[in-house]
Amino acid sequence: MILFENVSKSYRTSNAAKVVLDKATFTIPSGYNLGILGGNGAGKSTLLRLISGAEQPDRGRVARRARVSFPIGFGGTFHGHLTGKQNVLFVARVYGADASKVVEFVRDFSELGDYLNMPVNTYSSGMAAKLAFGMSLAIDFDIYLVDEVTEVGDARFRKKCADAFVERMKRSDIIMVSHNSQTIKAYCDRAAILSNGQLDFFESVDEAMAAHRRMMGASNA
Amino acid sequence: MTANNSDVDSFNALMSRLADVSDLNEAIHLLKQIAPFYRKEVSFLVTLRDKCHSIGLISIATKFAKEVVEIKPTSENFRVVSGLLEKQGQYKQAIPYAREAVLLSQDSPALYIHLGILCSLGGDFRAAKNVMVRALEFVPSDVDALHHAGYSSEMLGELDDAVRFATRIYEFDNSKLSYAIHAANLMIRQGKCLEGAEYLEAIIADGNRSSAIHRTCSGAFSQIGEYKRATEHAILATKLDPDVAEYQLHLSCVLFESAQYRGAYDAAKTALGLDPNNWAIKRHIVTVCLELGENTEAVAHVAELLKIHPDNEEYAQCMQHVLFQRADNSIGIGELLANKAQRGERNSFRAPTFWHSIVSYLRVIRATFLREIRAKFGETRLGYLWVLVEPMIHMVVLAVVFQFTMKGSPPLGNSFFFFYFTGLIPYQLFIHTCESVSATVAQNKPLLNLPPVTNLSTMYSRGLLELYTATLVILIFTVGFLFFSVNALPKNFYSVSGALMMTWLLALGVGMINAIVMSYFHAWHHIFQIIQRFLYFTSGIFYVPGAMDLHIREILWWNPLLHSVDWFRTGYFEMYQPPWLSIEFLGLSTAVALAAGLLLEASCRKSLRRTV
Repeated sequence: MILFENVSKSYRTSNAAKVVLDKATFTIPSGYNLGILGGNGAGKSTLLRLISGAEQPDRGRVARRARVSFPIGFGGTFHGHLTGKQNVLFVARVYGADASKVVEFVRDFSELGDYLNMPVNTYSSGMAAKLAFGMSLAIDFDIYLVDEVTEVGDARFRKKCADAFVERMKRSDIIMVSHNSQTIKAYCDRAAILSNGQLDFFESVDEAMAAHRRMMGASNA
Repeated sequence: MTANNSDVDSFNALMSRLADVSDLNEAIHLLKQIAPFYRKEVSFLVTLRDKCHSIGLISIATKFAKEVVEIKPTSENFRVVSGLLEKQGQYKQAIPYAREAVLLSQDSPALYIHLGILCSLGGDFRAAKNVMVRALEFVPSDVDALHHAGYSSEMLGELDDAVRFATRIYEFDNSKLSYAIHAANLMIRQGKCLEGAEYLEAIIADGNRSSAIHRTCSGAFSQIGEYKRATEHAILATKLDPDVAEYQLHLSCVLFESAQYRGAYDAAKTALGLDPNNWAIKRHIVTVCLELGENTEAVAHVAELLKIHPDNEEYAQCMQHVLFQRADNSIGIGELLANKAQRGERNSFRAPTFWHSIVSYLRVIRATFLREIRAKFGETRLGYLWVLVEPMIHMVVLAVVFQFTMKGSPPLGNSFFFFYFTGLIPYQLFIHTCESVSATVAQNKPLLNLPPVTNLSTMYSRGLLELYTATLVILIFTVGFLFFSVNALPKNFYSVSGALMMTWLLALGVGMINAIVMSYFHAWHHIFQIIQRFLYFTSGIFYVPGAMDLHIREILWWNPLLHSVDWFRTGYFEMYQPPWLSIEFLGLSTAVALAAGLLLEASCRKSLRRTV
């Protein structure tokens, strides 16, 4: 469960201040997979970062009653001079996970073989993505954050990712941001729309999608 | 006279033949024969006018009519001219005649209506509307007048009036449902969708229903997002008229909007069955299929569309989109989600206690420390070596330069190398720690995506790494000195470790201040490098402050690093007890620097967390 109390957050672009949340109060309950919809620049990614704690609200309070992941597949923490294994170990240590189990999982999952002991800057982008994805799934979180599902590898590997993801979902929840409505429909059973500084929750994904489509249509007209 | 009489006779005969003739050529022939008898006489001209009119010689008829009007300017004759001009599409020319007709007979609504229609056809909607309003004073229920009044209002953009006229037609004649629908459409156009829908619902409630009314009503509701009511009406429309593809398509659209994709699919399929070649329906089905996850069918429909319109960019994009839709929906997690929703909260989470928080903080520092150490030395095995080589070269250079200039023994002890070593170690610990901590904010951004990692924790890790490295360097050099029989063992362990710790804390504090200041004020980096050079020469690395003039030493006394170096040296050289050494001043500087660094970091934490 994640509680937002009276949270305000805005960020500055070159032109103007963008309001992501304006005195928003809501609860993200556990036991559901939540998809977050919103127009371009509504601040979906910033909201995700507020949820994860990577960013602090300008005002108000965010309380996490769950272990929240970093965005799945995020490889930005990789240090090019360190080996894949060392990079994975770092993240495992940061989260206090069983380091050897995590490395075992990643070795198994990412199919990088000996490359796991090579510096990450020798990897192709696909290999780095596999490593990042494996690392995200290797650590046990209550809530996994997904900022745009990035497709990794071939069809077989994608199936593997989906399977591993589903395995995690038996115990954990997902909070997902995606432009692809199919993805949200496939993974989520609740959805919310971020607009005008508020997050509005819907009972079903379909309802939220319809409302979102209308909103987009209205703003285009 | 006889001639006249016979003329009259033949003229009358011609005229009566003309009255009976229906063949155009024959009529023209007769008219040519009549031509010599032409005279300006009303009855004659009227006959010719009407005859020409009836056999379709409208322009000739118009000529006669104009002559008639000149001789006998009655309302009726004016009306005939304008009527004939209207038939030829010369509305503007007709208007003056129609106006004359109205002026001569001001209580004839038919003339007003005629003039109004001409104005409307001639494009003068303002005049048309005024004239029709006048006509309606006589005949308030006249459909033509109302129709044209409404049309003119619509063209003038006066939609309120247009609605009023359209609703009036329906009020007077309940069979004219199309006007009611038109009125509702006008309301929708004005954005009064609810009003329009309710107007139509009232008509339906009166028992006057048609599929078109339901369809319009549904459209009005869907415009304002009332998809439930829109759906009800769309269903009624399709029930009343099941064979209209457009109604089915509309039903599909409103069902789609209310997220009832299965129903939307069925309706769209029905629509396509009724109108198999309608590309708009096919395009819509693609959208519905995508929502349902029927990607294969979606692909098939887009393929058909592209076959018919290979150059249509939108279809091509649609195809691309459809093909990119992965079979994500095949993961089938519906059941899983349902199970989870039943089970409710996963209660593995425990709010961290104070002790836990400290443990996890230390864990993060350790993780970052190990990462930094690998990043620093891991790349090459030579990395470790470099840490030793740097102070070594430094010492050699100093030793070579000063051994020749000073010619003799160093200020303390008997090894130049060892003397410089005792000066360089605290200085380098300070500089390296300071530099490494200063670079934190700029280099730590990616790691901030892991919320447990903070700028502060990374600063500690980086600082610890420098302390660790310095300790290693001291140990290795001590062994090295001992190997060359230089007694490099500390005489006072407390002074050595105290000086190192204090110097390290001072560097940590200054590094924190630098890191924060630099992230707002980039030039600080260069300014601090100048300060570093200055510190190098004023910290007593290659001399003892005792060798300085008193007044210079009194100035240098304010450099905390001078005290670091001297305190460190007292631990190695028993004899060395400099009276100017103030550990209290060093401690105070350290405390101030640390407090300032921590305060700065705390106050800027939120804005520095912004990584976007």
